[in-house]
Amino acid sequence: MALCNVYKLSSYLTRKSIDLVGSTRAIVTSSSCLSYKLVNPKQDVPSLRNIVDTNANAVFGTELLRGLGMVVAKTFSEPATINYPFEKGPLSPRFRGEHALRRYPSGEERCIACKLCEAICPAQAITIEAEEREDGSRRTTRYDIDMTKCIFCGLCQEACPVDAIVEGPNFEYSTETHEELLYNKEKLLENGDRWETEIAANIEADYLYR
Amino acid sequence: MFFFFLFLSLSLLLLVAFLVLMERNILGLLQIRKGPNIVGFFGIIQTVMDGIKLLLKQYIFKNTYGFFFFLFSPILSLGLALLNWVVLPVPNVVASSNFSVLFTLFLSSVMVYTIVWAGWGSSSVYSLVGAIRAVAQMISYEVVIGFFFLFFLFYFKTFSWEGFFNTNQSFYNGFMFVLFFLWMVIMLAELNRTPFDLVEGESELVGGFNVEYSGCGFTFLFLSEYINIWFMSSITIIIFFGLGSLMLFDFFVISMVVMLVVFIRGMLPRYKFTDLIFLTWTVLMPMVVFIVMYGSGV
Amino acid sequence: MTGVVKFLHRQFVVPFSEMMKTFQHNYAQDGGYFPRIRGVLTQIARFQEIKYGDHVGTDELGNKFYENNRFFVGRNRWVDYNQETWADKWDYNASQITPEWHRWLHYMTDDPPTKVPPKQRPFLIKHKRNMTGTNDCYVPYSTTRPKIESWKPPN
Repeated sequence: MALCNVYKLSSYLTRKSIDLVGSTRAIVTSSSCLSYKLVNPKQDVPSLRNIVDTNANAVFGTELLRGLGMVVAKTFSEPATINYPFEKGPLSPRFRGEHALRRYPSGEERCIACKLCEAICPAQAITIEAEEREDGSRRTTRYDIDMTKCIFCGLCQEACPVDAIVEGPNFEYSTETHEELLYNKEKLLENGDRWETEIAANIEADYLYR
Repeated sequence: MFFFFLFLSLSLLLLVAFLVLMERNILGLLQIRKGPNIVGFFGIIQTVMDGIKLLLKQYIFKNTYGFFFFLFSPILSLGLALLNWVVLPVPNVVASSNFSVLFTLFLSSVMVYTIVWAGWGSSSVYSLVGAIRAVAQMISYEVVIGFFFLFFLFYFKTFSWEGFFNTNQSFYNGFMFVLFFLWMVIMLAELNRTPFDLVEGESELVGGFNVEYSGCGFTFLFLSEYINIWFMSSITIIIFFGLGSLMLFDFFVISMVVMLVVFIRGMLPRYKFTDLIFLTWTVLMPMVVFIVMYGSGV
Repeated sequence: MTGVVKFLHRQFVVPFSEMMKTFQHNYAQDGGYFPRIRGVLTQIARFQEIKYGDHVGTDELGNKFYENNRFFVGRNRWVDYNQETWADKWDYNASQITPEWHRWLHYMTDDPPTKVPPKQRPFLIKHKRNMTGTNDCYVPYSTTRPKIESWKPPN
């Protein structure tokens, strides 16, 4: 019996799917088309009961009254407004905010001027120039990020082999002028020094996925 | 007399500020959020500040053939909205007349012109289309509202709003609920409020006839709309509650009606334009004509 | 009977005690005229509401952090900005919060830095708020040598 029902259901669905697709493709075998289901109860049979119910609902405005009840009930519930800047909403440890250049615990800067971030940046917001330092190591002399070009996709921090460029959790760096958003290397290193405690903790919180 | 009217006008402007603030707060409550609560103490002067800001904004003129109408229609709109209160006995009657109901009907018909002029004078096709649709809505409901008042004129055998107080006592029965529901529909449509706010939400919230307005002109149109809400609420209590002797209680009941209008804005979705016109001419119009026939004893 | 007592307690005693706690929390600490009323009014005018909670800690810039888990997430942790960092108490800036407390205030962790102290590094510098609009604001400059150097005639 159950098997019979399943057969009937499947044939019904097949017919339904053919209806949906139209007459150009009469035979449909794909599973996605077969999985369409009619969720709503069928209402197209105009029985007396249907007509009376619909008209009674319309005349007495039951839907209006239910809507009014809903509205009045919501009036007395607690507002979901957060009182920024005193209260702040939840953020992810992976939040991609203001950029920062990090340092090793010894104080040595991490960036080795491999220019992978510059290459991968889809908005071409990063400009890097590199030179040899006095001790022979390869370092950047210029590391500029145009924050007004940046789209905050996070590809730079994913490309970085030494975790030097990161997008920190700060998003409250709005400025009054355009120039202040053209960050250079010193500004980025300063950001890193200022936010290092939080950046390090966030990276540590994400260790399972790195 | 004149000074009383001046005082009334100023209080109306304050009432509009209060109404906008109340509306924003109530809508905030309905949608589980807070309304304006920062400016001043608990946001009390938010709308006053908004009004000042709007009035101080640069008024952008368009040097076109409709310049006069573009400039004049907001002034006319605000003037007519204030002039409505001259004959209304709810705070106090300024100029007594035996035909004040007709005067009100006359003014509400003239108010349609301000919309036509605003839309046409903007010399923008978008404004013009919005104005035409708004006028179609308003004229349709002018007819209905005229017949609706006609019933009361027959029933009370008076043409003045003051006359409604004397003969109002034997009116509280079941028939009034039907009338009140009908009146709410007509009133919302006449005020261009939700669910009939097609004038405001023309093609879903771009603005209809007043898209080209900014600063002063927009403020005047906005003020006249909200003064009309208070006006229609006052008419409601005159017709249905027979008040007018106790100032404070009057004001309380008027505020209740205004609050109902605001609640309906939070409650109902917007009508389609075709449904709106359909509703006027096929549902409301026959009902109102039937009611008039009943009232006149035909 | 106990149900009635509980109901009455919940309806009358609890709101009253909550109100008293709120008032006690918001007393003005510096004395002066009517410190109780004045503190509450000041708090309403700054904060738009009054709340009470446990004082979790204070960061190095003097901002005080509170927690009360009666409120939903997003409202159960809040900061009372230090009044001395700015000219007067009506000015406050969200970027005043130091990074270690920023993490707690944004619900990235449940452990405040008083409980789990952050790692200290020698190169860390003191937090500073967003300086835009002041004379101390950041001005971009080039960090490289000029590409073209002018010719100096040999002596």
